Amino acid sequence: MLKKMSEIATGYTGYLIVFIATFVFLLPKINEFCTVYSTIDFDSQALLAWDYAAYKGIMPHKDIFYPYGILFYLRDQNIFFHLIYFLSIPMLFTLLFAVLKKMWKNTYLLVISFALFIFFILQFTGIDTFNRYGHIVAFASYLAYIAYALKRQSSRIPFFIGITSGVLFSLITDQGIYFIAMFSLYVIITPILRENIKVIFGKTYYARAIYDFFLYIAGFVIGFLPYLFYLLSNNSFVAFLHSIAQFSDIALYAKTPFIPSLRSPGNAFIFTILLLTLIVVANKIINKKKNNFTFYLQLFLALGLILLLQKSIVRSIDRQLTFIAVLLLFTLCKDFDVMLKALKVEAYNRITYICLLLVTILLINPFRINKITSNKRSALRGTACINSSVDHLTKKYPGYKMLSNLIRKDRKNSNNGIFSFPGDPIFYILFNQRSPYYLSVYEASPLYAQKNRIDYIENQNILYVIYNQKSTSIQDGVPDIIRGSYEFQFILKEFALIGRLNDFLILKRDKSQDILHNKLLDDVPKFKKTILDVDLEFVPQLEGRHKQKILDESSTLLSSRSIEEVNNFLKSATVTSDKIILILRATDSSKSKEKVSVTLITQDNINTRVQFQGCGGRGCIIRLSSLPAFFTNRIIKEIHMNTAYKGMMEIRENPKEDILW
Amino acid sequence: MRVNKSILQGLFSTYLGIFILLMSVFLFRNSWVDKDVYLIFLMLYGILPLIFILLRGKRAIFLTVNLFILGIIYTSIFLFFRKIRELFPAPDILDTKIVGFTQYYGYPFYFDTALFFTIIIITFSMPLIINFLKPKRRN
Repeated sequence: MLKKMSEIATGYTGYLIVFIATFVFLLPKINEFCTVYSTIDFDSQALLAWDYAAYKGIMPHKDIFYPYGILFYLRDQNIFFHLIYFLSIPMLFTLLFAVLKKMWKNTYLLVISFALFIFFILQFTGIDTFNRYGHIVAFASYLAYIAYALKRQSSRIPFFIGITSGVLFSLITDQGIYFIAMFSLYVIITPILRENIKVIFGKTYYARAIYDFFLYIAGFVIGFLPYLFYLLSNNSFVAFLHSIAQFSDIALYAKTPFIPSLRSPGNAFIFTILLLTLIVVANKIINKKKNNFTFYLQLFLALGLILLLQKSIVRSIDRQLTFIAVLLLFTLCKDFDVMLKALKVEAYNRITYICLLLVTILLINPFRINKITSNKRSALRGTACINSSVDHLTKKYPGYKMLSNLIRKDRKNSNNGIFSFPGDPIFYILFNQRSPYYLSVYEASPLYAQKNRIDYIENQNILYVIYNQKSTSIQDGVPDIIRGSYEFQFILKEFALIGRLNDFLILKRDKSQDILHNKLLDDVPKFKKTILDVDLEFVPQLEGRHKQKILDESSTLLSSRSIEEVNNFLKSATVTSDKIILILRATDSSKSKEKVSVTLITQDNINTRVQFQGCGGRGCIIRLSSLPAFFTNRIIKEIHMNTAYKGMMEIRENPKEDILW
Repeated sequence: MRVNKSILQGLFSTYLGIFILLMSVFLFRNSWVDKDVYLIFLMLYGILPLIFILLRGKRAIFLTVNLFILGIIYTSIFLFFRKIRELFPAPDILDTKIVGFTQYYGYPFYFDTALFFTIIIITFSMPLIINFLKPKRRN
């Protein structure tokens, strides 16, 4: 019986059984078209807003910013994409089963490792994450196989790989880009692995590489054609190209420190396994033990993981990549098995040792990788789906619905729209209103995106702005008024404060009012402090470091080490905030690491404080019109500094070229 | 160095048992040990005796030396992390006027990438360098 099962598992029937078994196991999910969100945090609101947009037939890239690919956008709205999404999961499991089968010669280890792998995916990674990053892993494994098994590569292979890449690029754009990178690495290193490093000095190497790339690109174009027709038919092609061009800007505003995140359980696990794998691969190269599938699998999986870690370096996705480390762990266990076999350890003992090791690392989980907590899925569709999330969230957080009712009462029968700052997209759903292209100030960090949101306010005839006081920093500790300062400036100039409900402020279109002379401002001390007490951290220092050359173009009104001399000048002259910049150059370098605090007093008795990190070396540049208190032009009458600062202060004209923050 | 295989197997089984026991103990009582120390232990010292015993002979010694040097390099990177960070240029606020974490807190944008690839390259090349430097056998 066991022998029969072993034959089935190791034959082609095994692949069919695995596909059917995983398909049947996941079958209850085929009817799940709806995610019910249980928390009102920024991420959940954004996902809900995208679900709502997809339900309303809003085009991604053209009408709404969506960086994750059409497959995820339409999987709950379109039966075709839903089936592709669903069927790709058992397909990925089957491909990875085939990889493990190729690696293990022992059926017990094959079955146990595959079972542990599925367990790990279900407990720690999640099906959605696996369906997103599993494609590049399967692709890396396939490349490992053809690098190992095929001494002479057929021309059809790069062509068909190109078609697959084009299709995946259409469905999950960022993963498609990784496919291109992975194939490039394959073309570069495979001839070197098959022969030796000297092959790179021959012309054949480069001719072959160019030929393979040519076939790959031809296949890629064919694979991309259906999606290209879809984009062209919806006038979205240019918007799609624009969204790809924005990837570099996403990296700029999304980047958070990576090295400190190495302490997380996921990253600790990934790096332990990755570095061990690199040592093992290097040793195999030294000892010329690279003529086995395990070596190629380790190398290509490690390269795939290193590629994906570039995304993690921008913004840590440690937990999502741990399953790749699990596959690498299996390859290390395979090497361990070979070592034990060389020591004449019996098969039964070898299996026991490896199973003990895998169970300890994956089940007892010494790295303490957290189990996934995902939102519930249900069979609801369309309006019922959206309403189930909205009803659940508004019951849990009643302020949202109360505020919506209050605004409806104020606007009476008009259809004037609302705008949410920094970004509570649930309001657009509550008001049955099309959302802005960028849902929040976070995605709208670039200036062009902030202008896009301002255009939305103008074009949609927005009458109200809902300001969430509780959210001072939507992500990463960067204040929203700094991140979206251009947008915030527009709001303060065009809208007036009219009321408050809990953490929400209501502003109504009225450009005649100066926000700082609004009587209601004293009733909202938190908002008042946000406007009048600003922490710029390193922004002035970075401006000083990188923008010195433009200062040559602006003339100096005053340069002095004495604050009294500066104040005398301000009292005698009419210095307006829109025309000047402040430059501070600290002379006492030992103090330059302390925060500098500058208090500015205006002619109309507005008292505002700005703090920032010290200004040694090239100094700090502050453009006053960037500060909320000076969004409206004011006359500066006095400046005070804290004792942390000793040095030169310059008041210069605002340069003509608008490159200062 | 010749080693009796049965003694090797016995040593290995004992070692594996102790290793699993220690990891299980740390799992339930990890407040006894600083987390970073625990992670370094897992990375280096848990694997070292295993490789030494299994590979035996001079090859094992060079691998052990390899891992210890890497351990020193990794520890140095983590200990002097802030000083190394100061060597990298702070990011610029470009025409797009993006102010994210790196611009707001002055964190060097390419620092993590550079450090990551340094660790990867050192880890991969260390065995190759040690192999190149080790004395060759005379025929």
